[in-house]
Amino acid sequence: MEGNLFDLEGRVVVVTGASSGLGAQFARRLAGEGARVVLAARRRDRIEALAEELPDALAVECDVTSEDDCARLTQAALDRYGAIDVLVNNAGVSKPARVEDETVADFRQVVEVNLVATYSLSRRIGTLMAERGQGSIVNIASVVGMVGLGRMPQASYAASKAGVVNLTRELAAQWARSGVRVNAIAPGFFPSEMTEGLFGDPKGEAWVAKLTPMGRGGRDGELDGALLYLASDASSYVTGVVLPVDGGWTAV
Amino acid sequence: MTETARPVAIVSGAARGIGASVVERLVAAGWSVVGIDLDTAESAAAWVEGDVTREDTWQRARDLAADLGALRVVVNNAGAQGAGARIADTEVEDFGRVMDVNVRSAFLGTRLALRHAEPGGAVVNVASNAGLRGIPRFGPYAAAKHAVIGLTRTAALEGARQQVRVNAVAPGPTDTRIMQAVARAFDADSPETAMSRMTRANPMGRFAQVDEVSAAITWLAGPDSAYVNGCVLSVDGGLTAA
Ligand SMILES: NC(=O)c1ccc[n+]([C@@H]2O[C@H](COP(=O)([O-])OP(=O)(O)OC[C@H]3O[C@@H](n4cnc5c(N)ncnc54)[C@H](OP(=O)(O)O)[C@@H]3O)[C@@H](O)[C@H]2O)c1
Ligand SMILES: NC(=O)c1ccc[n+]([C@@H]2O[C@H](COP(=O)([O-])OP(=O)(O)OC[C@H]3O[C@@H](n4cnc5c(N)ncnc54)[C@H](O)[C@@H]3O)[C@@H](O)[C@H]2O)c1
Repeated sequence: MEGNLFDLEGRVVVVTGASSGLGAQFARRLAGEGARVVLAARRRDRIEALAEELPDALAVECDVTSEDDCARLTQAALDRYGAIDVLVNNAGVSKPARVEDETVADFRQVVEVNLVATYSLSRRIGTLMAERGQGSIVNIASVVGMVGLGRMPQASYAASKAGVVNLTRELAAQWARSGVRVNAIAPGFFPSEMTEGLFGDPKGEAWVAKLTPMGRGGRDGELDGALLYLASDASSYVTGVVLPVDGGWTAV
Repeated sequence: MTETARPVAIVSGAARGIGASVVERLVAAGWSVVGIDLDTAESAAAWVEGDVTREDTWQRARDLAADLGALRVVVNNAGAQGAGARIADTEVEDFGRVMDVNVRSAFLGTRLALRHAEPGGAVVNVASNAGLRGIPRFGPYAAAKHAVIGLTRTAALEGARQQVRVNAVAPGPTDTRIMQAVARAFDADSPETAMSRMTRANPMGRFAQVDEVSAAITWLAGPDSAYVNGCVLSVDGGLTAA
C-alpha cells in the first residue's frame, strides 16, 4: 500500500440522495478526491446544479424505490464511465411519529426507501461488481439502527436502519470472495434537511449534546474520513463492518 | 515541519508485526514516535526497551515523549495470545500473564493518555476478533481482548469532554508470528493444515497484511476520524460479520 492510502482518483462512485445534506457533501468530497461521481436523487434541478459545480460528474434523476429508475441509473453510469467502483447508498427518509400515530403505510414507505432500495441497488450494482471482481458498497445506516431512542420516535426509521445493518453483514459474507466489500457507516446526528427540526430547536440540540459523550452533534465533513476510508483501498481487508461516527453515542 | 511541531505518539509492541507497521506509517506522516518493546528497533525517534506491564516502562515512555513535544496519541498494540490450551488445562498464572500483557498494559497506556495527552489526542487499543467472540484454546486471550474493548468504551466516555478520543481496532487473523503460534496450538503436527483451515474459514479467504491493520489504526489516531469515539473497528475480512 504505497502512495495515498485513500486514493480515489478516477474511481466511479454512485451516490444516492445526492441532492441535499450528507449525500451532497459526500459527492463534493469524493469529487475533490478525484472521483467521478454519479449523482442520484428525485430533485433533478439540485443534482444538475451540483453536477455543474464538479469537474466530472453525472446527474441522473432517480427515485430509488423505482426499479425502472434504478436500472436507468445503472445504465447511465455504465454508458458514461464504463464501470462502477463504489456505491454509496445514502438516500433516506424519516417520518418521526409515536407508534400510536404512525400508520402501517408510513412504516412501509420508510422501509421501502431506506432498506428495500438499498438492497435492490446493492443487488443490481453489487452483482456487476462481483462479475468484475472488485467494488466497495458503503451503506449509510444510523445509530438509530443500533439503539432505541424514544425521544425522537420513529419505529419505521429504526427498523429500516437496523435492517441495513444486518443486510450489510450478510451481503459482505456472500460477496467476500468476489472482491466486493460491503460496509456501513452509522452516523450520530448531523445537520441536514432531515435534522432541521432537531438542530433548529435549542432543546433538540441540548438533547443531542447531553446524550453524546463528546457533548455535541456531528459537524459538516466529519463523515468524510469514514467514507473515504471505506470507499478506498485503505480498507481492503474490511468488510461487513458497521462503523459508528457518533461522538461515542453507541459506546455508552 | 520543525522537530518541535511534530505530533508525538507512543506505540507499544513496536518492534515487529502490526506495531512496526504503525510506526512506519506515523514516521512517514511526520510524527515523532516513542516505541516500546521488549526488544529495540531503529525505526522510531526514541525507544523504551521494557515490559509494557510495568508502570515504570510507561513513565520512561512519557519522559521521552515530553522531550519530543506534546503527546497526542497512544497506540496500545503490545499483546500476546498465550500458550493455547483449553481453560480446564490452563494454570491461573498463565491466565494472569495473558491478562497483564493485553489488559494491564492497555490500562496503563490509556491512563497515561487520559492524564497527559493534549486535546485533540487519541488512544487506539489493538483488540482482536477474539474480543468479540469466543475462541476455543484461547480463553485467557479472548477474556483479555473482551476486557480491552470494555476499557476502550469506558475510556471513550471519560475522555470525550477533554477531547481525547479512545477507539479500538479488532484485527482478524493477520500475517505475523502470532498466527504462526496460533496455528501450532491448533495442530502441533501440521501447523500448515491449521493455517490453511483458518484461511479457508475467513470470508475473504485470506489473512490481513500488517499494513491493512495499521491503516485502520493510523486513521483512528488522526483528525480524519474526529467524531469517531468508543468504536471497535473490525479489520477481519468479514469474520465477525458472518
Ligand atoms: N442527518 C443525520 O443526522 C443522519 C443521521 C444518521 C443517518 N442519516 C442518514 O443519512 C442519509 C442522508 O440523510 P440526510 O441527513 O442528508 O437527509 P436529507 O438532507 O433529507 O437527504 C436525504 C436525501 O435522500 C434523497 N431521497 C429520499 N427519498 C428518495 C427516493 N425515493 N429516491 C431517491 N432519493 C431519495 C433525497 O433526495 P430527493 O428528495 O431529491 O430525492 C435527499 O437527497 C439518510 O440515509 C439518513 O437516514 C442521517
Ligand atoms: N496477528 C494476529 O493475527 C492478530 C489478530 C488480532 C489481534 N492481534 C493483536 O495485535 C497486536 C500486535 O500483534 P502482532 O500480530 O503484531 O504480534 P507480534 O508478536 O508480531 O508483535 C507484538 C509485539 O509486542 C511486543 N510485546 C509483547 N509482549 C510485550 C511486553 N510485555 N512488553 C513490551 N512489548 C511486548 C513483542 O515483543 C512484539 O514486538 C497484539 O495486541 C495482538 O493481540 C493480532
